[in-house]
Amino acid sequence: MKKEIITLITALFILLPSLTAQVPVPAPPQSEGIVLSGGTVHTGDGRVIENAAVAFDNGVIVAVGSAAEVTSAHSSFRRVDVTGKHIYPGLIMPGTNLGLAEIGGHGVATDHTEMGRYNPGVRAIVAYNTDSHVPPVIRSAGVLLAQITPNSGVIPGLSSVVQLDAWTWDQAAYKKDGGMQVNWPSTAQAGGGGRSAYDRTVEELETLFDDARAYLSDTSPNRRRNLNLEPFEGLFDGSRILYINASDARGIMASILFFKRQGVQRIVLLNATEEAWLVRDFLKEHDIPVIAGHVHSMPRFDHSDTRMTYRLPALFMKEGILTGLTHSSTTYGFNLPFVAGQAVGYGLTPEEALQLITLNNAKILGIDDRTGSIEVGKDANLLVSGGDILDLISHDIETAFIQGREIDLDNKFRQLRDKFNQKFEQR
Amino acid sequence: MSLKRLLIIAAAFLIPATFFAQDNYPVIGIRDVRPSTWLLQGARVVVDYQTTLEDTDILIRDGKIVEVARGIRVPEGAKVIDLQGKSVYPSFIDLNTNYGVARGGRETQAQITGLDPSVLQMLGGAARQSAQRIMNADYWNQGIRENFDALSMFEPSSSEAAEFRSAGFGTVMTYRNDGIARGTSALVTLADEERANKVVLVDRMATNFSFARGTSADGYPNSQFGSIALLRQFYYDAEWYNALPRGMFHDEALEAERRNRELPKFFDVNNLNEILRAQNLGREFGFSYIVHGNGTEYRRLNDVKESGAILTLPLNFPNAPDVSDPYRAQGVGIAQLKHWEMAPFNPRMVAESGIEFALTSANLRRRADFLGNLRRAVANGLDESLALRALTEIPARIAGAEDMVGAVRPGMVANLLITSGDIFSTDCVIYENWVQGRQYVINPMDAINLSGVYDLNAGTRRYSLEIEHAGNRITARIISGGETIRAEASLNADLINIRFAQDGERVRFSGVVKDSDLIGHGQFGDGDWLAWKATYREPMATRERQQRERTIPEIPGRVMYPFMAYGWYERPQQEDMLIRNATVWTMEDDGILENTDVLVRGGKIVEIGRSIQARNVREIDGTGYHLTPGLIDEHSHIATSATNETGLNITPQVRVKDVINPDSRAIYQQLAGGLTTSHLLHGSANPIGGQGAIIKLRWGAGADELLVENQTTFLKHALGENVKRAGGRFPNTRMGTEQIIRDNYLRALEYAEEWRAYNALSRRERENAIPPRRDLQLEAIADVLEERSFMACHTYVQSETNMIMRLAEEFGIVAHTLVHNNEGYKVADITAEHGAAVSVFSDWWAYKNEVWEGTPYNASMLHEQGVLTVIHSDNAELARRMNQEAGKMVLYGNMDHQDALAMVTINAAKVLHLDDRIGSIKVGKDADLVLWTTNPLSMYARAELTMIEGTVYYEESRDRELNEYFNNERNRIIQKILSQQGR
Repeated sequence: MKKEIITLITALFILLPSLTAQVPVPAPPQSEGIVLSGGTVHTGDGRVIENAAVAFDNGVIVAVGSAAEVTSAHSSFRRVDVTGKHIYPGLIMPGTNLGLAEIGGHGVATDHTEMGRYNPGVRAIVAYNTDSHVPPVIRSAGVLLAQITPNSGVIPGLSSVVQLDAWTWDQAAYKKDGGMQVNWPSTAQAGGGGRSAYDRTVEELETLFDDARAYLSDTSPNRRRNLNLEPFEGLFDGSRILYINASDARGIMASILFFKRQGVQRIVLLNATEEAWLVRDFLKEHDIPVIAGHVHSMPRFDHSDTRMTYRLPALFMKEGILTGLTHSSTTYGFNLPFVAGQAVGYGLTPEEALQLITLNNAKILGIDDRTGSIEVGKDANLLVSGGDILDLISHDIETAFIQGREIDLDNKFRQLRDKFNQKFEQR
Repeated sequence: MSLKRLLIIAAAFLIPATFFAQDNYPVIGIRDVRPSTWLLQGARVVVDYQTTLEDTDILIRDGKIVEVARGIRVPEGAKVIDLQGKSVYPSFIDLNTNYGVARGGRETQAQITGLDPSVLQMLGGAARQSAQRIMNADYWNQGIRENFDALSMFEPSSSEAAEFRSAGFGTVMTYRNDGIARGTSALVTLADEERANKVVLVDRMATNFSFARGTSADGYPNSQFGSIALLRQFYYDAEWYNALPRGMFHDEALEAERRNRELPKFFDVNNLNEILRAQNLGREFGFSYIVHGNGTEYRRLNDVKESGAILTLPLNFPNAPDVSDPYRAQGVGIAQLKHWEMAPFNPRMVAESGIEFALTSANLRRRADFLGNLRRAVANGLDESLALRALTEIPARIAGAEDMVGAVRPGMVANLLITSGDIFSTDCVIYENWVQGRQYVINPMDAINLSGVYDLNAGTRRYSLEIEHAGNRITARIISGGETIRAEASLNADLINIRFAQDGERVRFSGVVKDSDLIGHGQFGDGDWLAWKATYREPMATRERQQRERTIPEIPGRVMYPFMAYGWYERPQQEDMLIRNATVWTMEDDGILENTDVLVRGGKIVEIGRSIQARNVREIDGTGYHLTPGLIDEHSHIATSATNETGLNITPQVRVKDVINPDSRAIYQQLAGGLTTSHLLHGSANPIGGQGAIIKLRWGAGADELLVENQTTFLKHALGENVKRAGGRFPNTRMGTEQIIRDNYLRALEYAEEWRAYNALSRRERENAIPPRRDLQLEAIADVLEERSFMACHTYVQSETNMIMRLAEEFGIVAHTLVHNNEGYKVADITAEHGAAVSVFSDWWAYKNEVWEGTPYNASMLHEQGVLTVIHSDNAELARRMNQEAGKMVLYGNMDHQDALAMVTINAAKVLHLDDRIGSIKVGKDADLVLWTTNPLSMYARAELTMIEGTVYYEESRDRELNEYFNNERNRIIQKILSQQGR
């Protein structure tokens, strides 16, 4: 009897996290060096190293190489045998409203659509909810970093990159306010001869940039602060990336030329659709990276290639354009690796497909100096999987590290499963 | 009585119109009766579409044709018109007009007596929606206005009549364009009369229908399947009504239906599919409609022909789409481009297919376009005599008025056209359109035509003057020496003005027409007055264009099935096939077989094994490939013209099979993902929605051909947020949802009992009993309660899932398919005991409150508890990759690969009661097969070939050919448009 009670109490403690249905506890900082030894390393930049090891300490990768060498060189590290397993860089998901929206269709539960057309100063990071149930769900599929973006209006505001294991938003911030989003108007609004909604928006943007330049050139001490004009400085000096969402071919060209003319240094095109494919030569010429987003949507035109949307990530990458990839819906971010995997059926190698959602996304978000690939000096954002993470039938992430911290892969999906499996066990 | 007296009496009867006015109007003011006898002499008379008489006279008296013959003696008091060189045709008849009949207005608040608001509140829901109406003895639904007669609000309109007459029409059928059953129409002439009395030829000529509810104040129906259900109910109500004893129940519309039953029935449709839907509906009740076509019939001529519909065909040829911007032109669909090219050939194609049709001036941008488009249709190969017949004899016959209109014969109404010649030739002018013996001048017959070459003398100068004159347009040129100068010329009555400039000098002539010459005075640049005279020399040289033999063009391009990109221009054929050496997923006990052959003959799987020998088959090397059964989507909304009927909250009477739309691109897209069968459901707006339909994705086939033969019907039920959010109606909570389903189940039980009791009566007892009314709503529910059809219930949270199972148990049935069922895992054990199957999303969650506890482990947990589990799409894009959805089951639940694929194949077949035919690779089953590049559960897999019953509907290589073909076709038509615009 006593023994049974002890068992029961132990069981209760083990089950406690899931029964409370809270998001997992964030992990403490890495306290000891770790070497993952014996696995296949997929570096994220296209290389594969068999029978390899990755060593990391204080959250940073200190060695990558053959298992024997790295392990012996870091004998003081805790050795984790990953023989037969695969090591990947943590996946990166651009263009999300993670932590800003919880349940669709609930206005009060969303924080990513501010009112007004021009909100350059609005910052997604300050609304990021670390206790949201969504990040744990998508990080257990390998997404360890995400760009969080405001959405509405012409200039919705500033985006940030967060790491998905934190107590507070400032702790989550990986790159704060590093991007400005812009929704370029559809050129379908133009035409008709007169001054169209399209013209008006372009004129408004022109004025905004003129004002920003004037404001920033004013160094007098009694200048009144303007939160909407300050963020432009980063666009002009290259410290902030402009993310353009333009829906049609001409709008893509017009917007890129417009912002280049305005002196914006770094430009990324979101939603690399079939319209962007029409102007691929232009994108190449202007060295504009793209993020493919709506892979799981119907082809744009009735005469489009039947599987055009499935082909696009591979097409852009093979064209020599820096191509990233995201999933069009944040709450389904757990499918990001598989959307990348689908590109394998359309011409990419698995390593190229992986690169879409690791190194390429890192470059596009301006965080490739710290993450995106398994390289010495980069953050230890790592995944260990029993099989190929890009495919449904082999994806098996067992362990994940964010900045060297081993994170809890529990999530709402698993908690619900475990809870109700107990119901069936009770019968 | 003397013979003489008899003759006088007989004569009086023969020509009474000469002596008595044919109306009952009081004379107000001074009587002013004008002579009404006319003799038209010496015309080429087109008596009807097949008879033409040369040099013939027509005697008209009091609006009627009295005689058509050569050399008629001029009667006393007759007015004579010389028609030498002119032609006479019967005036046209248009059966698709709303001439003089305004559309009904929405019932105003004041007209809606309704019930006391507190009573309405208490009634709630459906009762409230139908109670809120005028409390008269009309049909319970305002969409049904069978008892309306167009004549009751008909007022002739001079301006409208003039438009019709200019286009050649003399008679029209007019109906009110409002509602589903629109009531009766009348055949009227287009004469201007002080009152309508004299222009009505046939009252209650026909009844009229459409699928559009019009201005009805009722919420129901607001979908096409709702309209069809309402019409069916109306016809069944009519049968019931006719069996009722007198004095028991009175309904104006049903009375009218009894009265109108034998009249011709017209159906107004918006598209080709609706023609076939109307005919399907008619077939159920033993009649065929005359359908107002929309000009796209060429897209499925065979289906239209087989439907037996007679058509009225519009000549609505579209303008070329704007393709000036190459980027934007991407958005112009191939159907729109092709339609621009093919629409002008529609009349010819319809005619050549042997479909009977009348022509109409409906659906034109301007009625004045009619003649031009008619001539274009003829130039494009529509047979002239058929065209004339379609404007005269056919509509006259349909109207039952062939004794009055449609030909130029004695005794008929004097509706005739006087033209300059062959009415189908482009330069023919209609001079006059006579309606009921009234002369309407369209273009004056004796109008001056100045065309010709003149010698122009002005003072001392000598010129040549060339004038081309057609209608109101005059083009003039002055030839001076070798130089040709453009001149402006205008003619008003017989007054002429000519202006031109020569060497910077402005010259102005003003004058009059004198016989064939022109004379007058004018001023040159120096301001001096001088006399000028243009002496007619010779006619203008006939232009080459007119001399050229008219050649009938080929029909441009090919019709594709369906009429959109990737449609078949050559339909695929069933083939016998041997797939060699593939990895075969049997979905049976045999599991997944390596290096296996599958033989397909006659659309069936006939052999599975190694090294199969077979002759006369297409061999497909399956080495390295995986062969699976075609995937099945238990829950889809593609290929339909309606999703929800929200006009009522309980709509089991609506049927998806009534609104299948084969022109759906998703069909092809999904074939490309290995899908072959789809269950199309009603939406989730109502606690009890409509009846689903199962289709096979036979791309290119018509609606009826898509339907799976001998299928089981599943009746949609829905619980939770979607039902609640409809707003302003009962129910608003899950509590109310349970109540209303329970209540309808109880009513359906009583209904079934009523019928059982009635059917149990002996024949003699039945004679004295009143048969119960056939109620399509309750009948559909009774079918579920008596397991002739089965429940498919949209449910999300466990409380409601549990509720519907308990409710079903109370009524002795199983909640057959629990659809979506995001919290199904919470009650998986109960579900297994209850015996329901489930059809779920693989991983959907978080898009609304009731899916916040969704988990992708749902399906595998249900499966583990022994529940028959299916994964569905509910989304046209997702249905392109159901194999991946199955693959997720390996990830979430570590399922065996065949068990995972079963969720989109054999399990779905079982749920749909089709597992004897589809869902696995088994000898005797349909050859619905997919060849995959690798393990179909893998993200890396692509479907390379998809077949249904041995017909290959998707093949990667063929897909590329089609892509190229349609891109070329687009380009060809765009170039054609641009070159025509550039001209």
